[in-house]
Amino acid sequence: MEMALDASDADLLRSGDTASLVRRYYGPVYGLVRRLLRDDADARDAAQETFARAIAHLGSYDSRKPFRVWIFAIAANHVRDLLRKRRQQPLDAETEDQLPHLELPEEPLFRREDRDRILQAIDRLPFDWKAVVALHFQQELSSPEIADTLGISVNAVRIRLYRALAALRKELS
Amino acid sequence: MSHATPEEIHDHAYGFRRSEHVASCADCRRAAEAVATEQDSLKDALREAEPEVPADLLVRLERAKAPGRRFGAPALAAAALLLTALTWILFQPKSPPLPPLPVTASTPEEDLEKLVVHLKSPSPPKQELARMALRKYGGIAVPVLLRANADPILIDECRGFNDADREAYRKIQTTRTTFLANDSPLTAAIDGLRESGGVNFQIVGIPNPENIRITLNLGNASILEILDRISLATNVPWGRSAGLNPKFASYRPREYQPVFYFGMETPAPASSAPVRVPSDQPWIAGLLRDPDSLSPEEVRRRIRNLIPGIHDGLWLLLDSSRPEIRQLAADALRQGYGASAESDRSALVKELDERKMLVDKETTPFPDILVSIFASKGVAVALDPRVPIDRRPVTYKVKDLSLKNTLKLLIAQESLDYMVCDHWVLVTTPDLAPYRKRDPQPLWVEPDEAKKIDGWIADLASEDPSRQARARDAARAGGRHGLDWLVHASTATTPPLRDRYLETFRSVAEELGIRLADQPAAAEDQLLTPAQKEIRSRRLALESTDKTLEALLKEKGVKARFDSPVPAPLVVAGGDLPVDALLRAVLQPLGLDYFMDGDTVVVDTAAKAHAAVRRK
Repeated sequence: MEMALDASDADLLRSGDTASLVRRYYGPVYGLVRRLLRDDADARDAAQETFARAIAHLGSYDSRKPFRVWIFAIAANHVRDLLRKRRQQPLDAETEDQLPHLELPEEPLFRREDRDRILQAIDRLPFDWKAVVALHFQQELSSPEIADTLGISVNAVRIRLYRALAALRKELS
Repeated sequence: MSHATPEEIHDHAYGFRRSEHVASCADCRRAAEAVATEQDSLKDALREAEPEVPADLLVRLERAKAPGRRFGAPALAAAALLLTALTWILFQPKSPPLPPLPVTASTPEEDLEKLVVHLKSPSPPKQELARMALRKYGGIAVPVLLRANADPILIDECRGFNDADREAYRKIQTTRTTFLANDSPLTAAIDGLRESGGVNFQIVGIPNPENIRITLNLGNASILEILDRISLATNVPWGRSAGLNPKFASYRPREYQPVFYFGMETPAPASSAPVRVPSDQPWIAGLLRDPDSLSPEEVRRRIRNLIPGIHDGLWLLLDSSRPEIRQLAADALRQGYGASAESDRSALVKELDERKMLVDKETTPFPDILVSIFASKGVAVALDPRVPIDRRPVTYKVKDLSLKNTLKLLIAQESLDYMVCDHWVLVTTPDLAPYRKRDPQPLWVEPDEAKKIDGWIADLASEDPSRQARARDAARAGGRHGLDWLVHASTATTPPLRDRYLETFRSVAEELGIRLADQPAAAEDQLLTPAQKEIRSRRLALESTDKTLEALLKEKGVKARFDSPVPAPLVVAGGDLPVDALLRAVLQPLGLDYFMDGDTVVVDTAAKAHAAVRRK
């Protein structure tokens, strides 16, 4: 099933009102890159670069996809390139064709008051898992949207998500 | 009845694959709800306030947009892109080509040459800042200034001579007298010069100067000439004192009087150089190339980050077209090259400086004197429990001295020192004192030392394991000084490099057994009830020269359980010390810590205390 373009995004694009688009998505994009880069200044630069690229390449945007998927893809790719250049490991998680061993928590391991610890544990995840965590829990994208953003299959999203969960539970238990 | 597997429950909760069984089975539904609750917690944790769009981003993007842009066919998109590029090129303000970006830090020699150029700049602020910087370098700047025929007063200042020194030197140059000595002792000759010149002379380093005889007759000669002739005749050098050590530019002796020494040459002027931290982070380039694209807050923040390394880019920013950027850069350079910023004086430090003491103790053990000085005062003192207590009787009398100097004099007799912590004064040995991380500020050391440290910092930043190992060895060998430059490097860089410096700092401190100051207790990580918070913050009036911690807490009605014993008697006193501060003061030196279990303070090793808190 083809994903429909968000109507109001389409209106803004048609009318060339890029400023409103930027206002709408700056916060989410900044939040995503901030989570991936762990530094405010780097995040600001990365967010600016994301929008600069998006505006420069609006001609290549496929209107069959939600705009947010497209802009998050630009952001995630930019951050990945940046981290690669800095040789900041780990970027790639291990082989992803196997699910981790999943257990059912007897009680929720992540409590709201553990926010700092949760964020620190997320920061320590490999980039590929962290991106899925941020897109799912922070940006609340669906799994097919995450798959589109990152250019992977839905099953790969599922495996990365569960591997991240297992790692977070282990660290926070 | 078989239930859903954990995988099926997760797939159901996360929407990958809905399961009829999970939806209908109470147990499985409960499990799925637990997973869903976890999801909510993660969403909550990741939820943050979204920042406003920076105004300069919108301006930049508008500039980058071509008018009348349409989206659609690739040909139109390509044409629009071309138009955008042309528009951007046409409407960019014309400016002279930018100089190459300063990406690596200058050596002291390079910096001095640049400063001499700035000294000759037509810009008064640059001249003023260059003078300040050169004075800070001190003696090492003198040869460069001499070559450049710089202002003699500035050269003198770099040598450490202040106005009083210059005036005294002018006096001996211009005061003329007749000097007659016929086999006279040196002491008499110098006394005569002192009287006729009206300046200070001292004979130093010469055993039995009265046995050195002089015969010299000079009519209407300057005192300077006479000194030179006496020096020639006796083969004894003479020199000047210096009233201003550029290294400590903020300190001027209150009643300093210049002295001319007969017996020693003028000491070499003090020199120092900053430890520079090379940094080629993109954010620096962004700041220097296009500060207009950044918000004022961002500019302010980035400039502040350049201060610890006194980045060369700050001089570039002095030429900014924006006056506020020029001001920020000037202030930053002043901070980098000027006197060390005085840290905020806490109430405790003020009390130490301002309270006057009268102590009159005879044949009293040292701990008792220490306790008596601080008992019932608003300032608390604790003797490091690792320091052996010397109970031999001493006599100690002071009058009208500050509390700080009263303490210093007393503990100096025991070869001890003190450190101000947040609620108490810790008396300890220099070796045992915890290490306090320096605030982000420039690090000025002897020039040769600065060169070595620059090299080690670059080694640690490299990807070569052998260079990194060399830097770690140097840090370890440097002890606390090694920790200083590791912290300095971390304050002048950003992640991931900053993390490497901090990690090395932590591991070197641990290897050297150096404890870090200002560490919170394990209890700080607990979610405490109001009652537990009250126990921690309860203020105690203390006086002990021999009680154990257990006895003290019991006396004060604080319940405690000692899973690791603390048998040492404590020397502690003060009128207003919170329970948390007392525990940290006594436990952390011993590698112990505490957490709250109900209304009970539980003392254990630091590792066990933190583990217990994580389990809670």
